[in-house]
Amino acid sequence: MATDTDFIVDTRPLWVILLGRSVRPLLLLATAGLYWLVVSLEPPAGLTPEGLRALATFVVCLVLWVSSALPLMITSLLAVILLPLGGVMPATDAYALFGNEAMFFILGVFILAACVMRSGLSTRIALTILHRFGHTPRGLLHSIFFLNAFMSFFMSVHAVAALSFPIIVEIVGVLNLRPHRSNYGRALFLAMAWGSTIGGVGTLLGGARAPLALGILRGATGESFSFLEWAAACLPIVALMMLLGLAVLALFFPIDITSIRDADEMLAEKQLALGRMRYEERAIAMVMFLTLLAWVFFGESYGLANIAIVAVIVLFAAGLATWHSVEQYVNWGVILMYGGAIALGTAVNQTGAALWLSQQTVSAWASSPSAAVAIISGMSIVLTESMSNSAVVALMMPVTLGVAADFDMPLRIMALVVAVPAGLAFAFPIGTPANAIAFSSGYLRMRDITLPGAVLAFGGWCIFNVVANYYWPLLGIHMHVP
Amino acid sequence: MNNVLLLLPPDRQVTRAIETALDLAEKRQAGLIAALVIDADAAHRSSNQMVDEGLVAEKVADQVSEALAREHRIRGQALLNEICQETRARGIECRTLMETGDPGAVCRRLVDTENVGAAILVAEKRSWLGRALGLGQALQPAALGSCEVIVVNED
Repeated sequence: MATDTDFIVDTRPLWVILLGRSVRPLLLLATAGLYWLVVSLEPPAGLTPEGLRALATFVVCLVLWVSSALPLMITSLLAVILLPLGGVMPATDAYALFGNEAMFFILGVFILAACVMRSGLSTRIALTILHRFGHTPRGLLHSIFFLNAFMSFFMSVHAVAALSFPIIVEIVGVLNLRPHRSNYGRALFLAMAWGSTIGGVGTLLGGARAPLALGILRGATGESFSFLEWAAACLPIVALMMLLGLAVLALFFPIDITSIRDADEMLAEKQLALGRMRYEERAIAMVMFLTLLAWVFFGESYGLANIAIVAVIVLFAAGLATWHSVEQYVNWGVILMYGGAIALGTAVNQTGAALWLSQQTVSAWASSPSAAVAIISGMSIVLTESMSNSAVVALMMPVTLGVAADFDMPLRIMALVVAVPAGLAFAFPIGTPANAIAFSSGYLRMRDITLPGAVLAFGGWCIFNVVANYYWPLLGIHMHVP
Repeated sequence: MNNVLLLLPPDRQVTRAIETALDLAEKRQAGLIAALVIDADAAHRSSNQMVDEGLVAEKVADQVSEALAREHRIRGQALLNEICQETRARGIECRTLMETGDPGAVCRRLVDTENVGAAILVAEKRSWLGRALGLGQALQPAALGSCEVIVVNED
């Protein structure tokens, strides 16, 4: 009789199997060797011994974040202990950077979003909009695209994608769309992923990238952006990207069905089943609205993080949230990930390693501030297709602060130049959870997402650079220090 | 009479595998057992990956996995019903089942208990890009004692 051990016969060559199982430990050993190699080098001209050790820590994080040999948050913890152990900064300073204001803003935003999701308010909004505007195939597709973008102005991108995913799965189910075959099925899932991703760059609430960039910026320079300034700089990019996104969807996935009556009925039934809006939903919507107003009008005077935390306290005080219900909706690893990233960014900048690294790379390649912005935004977009958006920000921000200093650019512009393109991941499932969620549906093949996604990413890069060069100066965000 | 086992993954294009199974069962005058197995580990793997690498909250990742599993079950049931109709139309005895678990273990159990003479497995089609990025899993042909194993590529 067959047993567990004799069932699966792996017919691959032995060396392939052994290599596959050894990659992770080998990579970790190689990374340790790389750290030792860099710290044992003589510091090159222009770099202090502390700067060299900060650079070694930066290289370790680069390898581990790109390869995902360790979970992102564990790599961040490694950075936090390598900094004091390597003599880059005292342990108390490294750990204290976990208390950065950006951390608490991110935390507050995630808890608020958790309350919105848990109460069912977000599902109600989604169903209402889809039922209201999605009566034709094109109308439903566009509704999903715009709905996800709109919701990503207020909630993190992956939460929005995860929220709309079950609804879209039901839609393709009732429409009997065939996986891998139906253009409309593919377009619906891509509209979900791309709409969320594009909307996510519009405000500081679409994910932790922008707050993380501001956290590193503030830690290194003391400068920042207000909630309104950030939105004013980014919303035109969102508007143009939305138009481009619709064009790409229409070009690559022409609609191949004529009626969505079954989906329309299903959405109507689901909306009906939700019943009237409950007190909890109304109250949470009110708190969210007031918080948004407070961020816009009092963000600079009271601080974005303080406002977010006050809103969280109000929700708990009013009995609209319980810790048990909220904690499951927040990935607490973000605290470790972002705290470590901010510590690393601050150390690389304070020791002069950022300036040295930028002089060897972007500053050497670029001839003007505009060229530097084009190179940095291009690098961010390419990197974000294959690694976590936040890891891109953590790696790029310190270096780009050095570039800004080299070209006599305002330092704070670099938060936009890194964080916005880092959010524009369209071409690979591994680029962002929104893409991964869409891909997991089974409706998309790799080529359905890579080529159209690459077109969208390239278009995004062009749009970003046009906006940076011609629109931002109108807001007083210049490439040169006036 | 030896049965023909058709082991189906939930999210693949399996028209060719179904045709092969029906032809074989007809030729051998055997019964067909169509088993759709939803890989329980796959859902956990994707959920864990989202939590670790995408910094997605556990509850949110679970909701995605649950929605996907529900869709697989609905789609799988529809597919099994289609197979059953087609099989009976050709005068072949048919039995279907859907399970969540380890596809290998389910296959082995059915081979051991259901007098299976041939097992038809579906090999996942992967693009060069998918292979390069390590997406999906390569098929690992199984040894099932005296049972014949036939691997059919996804459409």
